[in-house]
Amino acid sequence: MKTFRILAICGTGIATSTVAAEKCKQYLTKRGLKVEVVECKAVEASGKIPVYSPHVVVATTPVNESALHGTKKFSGLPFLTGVGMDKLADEIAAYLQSLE
Amino acid sequence: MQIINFILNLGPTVMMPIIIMLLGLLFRQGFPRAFRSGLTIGMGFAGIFLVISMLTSNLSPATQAMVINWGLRLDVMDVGWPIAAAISFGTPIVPAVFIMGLFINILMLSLNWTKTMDIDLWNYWHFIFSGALIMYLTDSVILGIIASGITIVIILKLADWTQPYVAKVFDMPGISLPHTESVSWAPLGILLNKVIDKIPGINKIDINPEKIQERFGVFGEPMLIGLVLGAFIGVLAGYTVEGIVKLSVNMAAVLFLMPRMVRILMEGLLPLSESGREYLSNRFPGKEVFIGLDAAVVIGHPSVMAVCILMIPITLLLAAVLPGNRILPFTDLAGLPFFLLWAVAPSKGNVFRGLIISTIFMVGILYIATDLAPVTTLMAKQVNFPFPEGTAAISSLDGGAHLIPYILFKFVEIFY
Repeated sequence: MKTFRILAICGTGIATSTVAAEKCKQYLTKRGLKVEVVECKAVEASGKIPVYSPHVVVATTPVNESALHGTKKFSGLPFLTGVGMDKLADEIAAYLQSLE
Repeated sequence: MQIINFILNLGPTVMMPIIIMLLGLLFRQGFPRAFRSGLTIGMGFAGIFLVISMLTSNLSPATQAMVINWGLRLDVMDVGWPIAAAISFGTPIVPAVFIMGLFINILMLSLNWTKTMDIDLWNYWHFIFSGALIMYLTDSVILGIIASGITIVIILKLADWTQPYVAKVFDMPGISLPHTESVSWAPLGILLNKVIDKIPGINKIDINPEKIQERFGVFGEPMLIGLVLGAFIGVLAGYTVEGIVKLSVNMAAVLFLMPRMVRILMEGLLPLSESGREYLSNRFPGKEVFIGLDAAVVIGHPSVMAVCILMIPITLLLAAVLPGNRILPFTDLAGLPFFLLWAVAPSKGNVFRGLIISTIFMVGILYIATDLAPVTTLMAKQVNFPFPEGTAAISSLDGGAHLIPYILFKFVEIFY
């Protein structure tokens, strides 16, 4: 099975993206997907995406369309608030499976 | 008492793991998980100490040389919010503030005094910082804890009050931002925006944020801030080419590594923060609340980013020309969005107004950071932070942005 690369983006690249990244990994692994999650700051996104070329971006802060270089973006807020985590994980899982 | 003193004297790498483990057990995480998160925090501190000694041993001689060469009296080092947070987490009032904070939030929610449920336990360090300022000023643990409590109440009320902006400007309904160094400035930002509304001509100007971000975005990246600023300081310090290049790369490394180290701290706090969140949300099922998050969730907004990129040179210029300012902005230049968020939000993201209001905020932040340098340095020494000999004073722009704690501090100072 393929390992999917996920980029978690937040304002600092520390606090909220750590929570989002951990949750994302936990919930997608539970759904039988192999994922690798890397975190970065919003200012670094534009430079990081072409290098890391993630399959999806999970952002907990607004990110410029142009910085995404066409990568599909999900809002990671549910991972922070705890509301709707399963629904979001289902959506991300469905999208990743459609890539295979 | 002897045992407590013994543990306190061991410093944060040992004390914090014990505290966090005990708090974890209190939240019924089970011993293995509580032990693991405690140890992770201890390692986080060890990592932060590595970076701070790299920062101070490189930057301290350079700033002293700058004072001699140019008479630029910028001898207070900006060690940044990561260190301010770590110092706060190294003070003995940590467990008391965590438990009291949860209690105050629950009490205010059940009495309908607030709608904000602050699940961002990581940023309880703001409240601890506020308490620690008062504690080291008055030598009274009780007064420190009371100050933390007052700060929590004020910040929750400010978060409620500013929630409509979060919903409208940042499109995040149901979320509020009880984030001390950001929201403390909201009343002033909203007021200044109203003033600009009244000035004919000026009130029509706006700047496109996307263009600024595309063109200058890379200069907001921490490693480049470190590289460029390191070289600049090296030149001002009169170093040789070799010295300049070394300082430049080392400063880039500091700004790159610091967040990595804080992340380890954060990882250790994560289980506790989750327990706190569950504990809070289980108390109020079905109640309509604003979920209180870290302001990091909105600072990616293009206008905020554009303003903050432009504010980096303005901040340095202000630091150089403001009479009486002694802090040399450095580490927290990568954290400007937090302090300047409420300079941009009131005008719904007008970059021109954001710049004007940010400049006014920054004057205040620099002076407050300078004024808090002695007590911050004292705090760092008291919690056994390892500073090399000859390090002058430390402070941070982030400390300077803690406006509500600062007002409390100045008020209490009158009596001491």
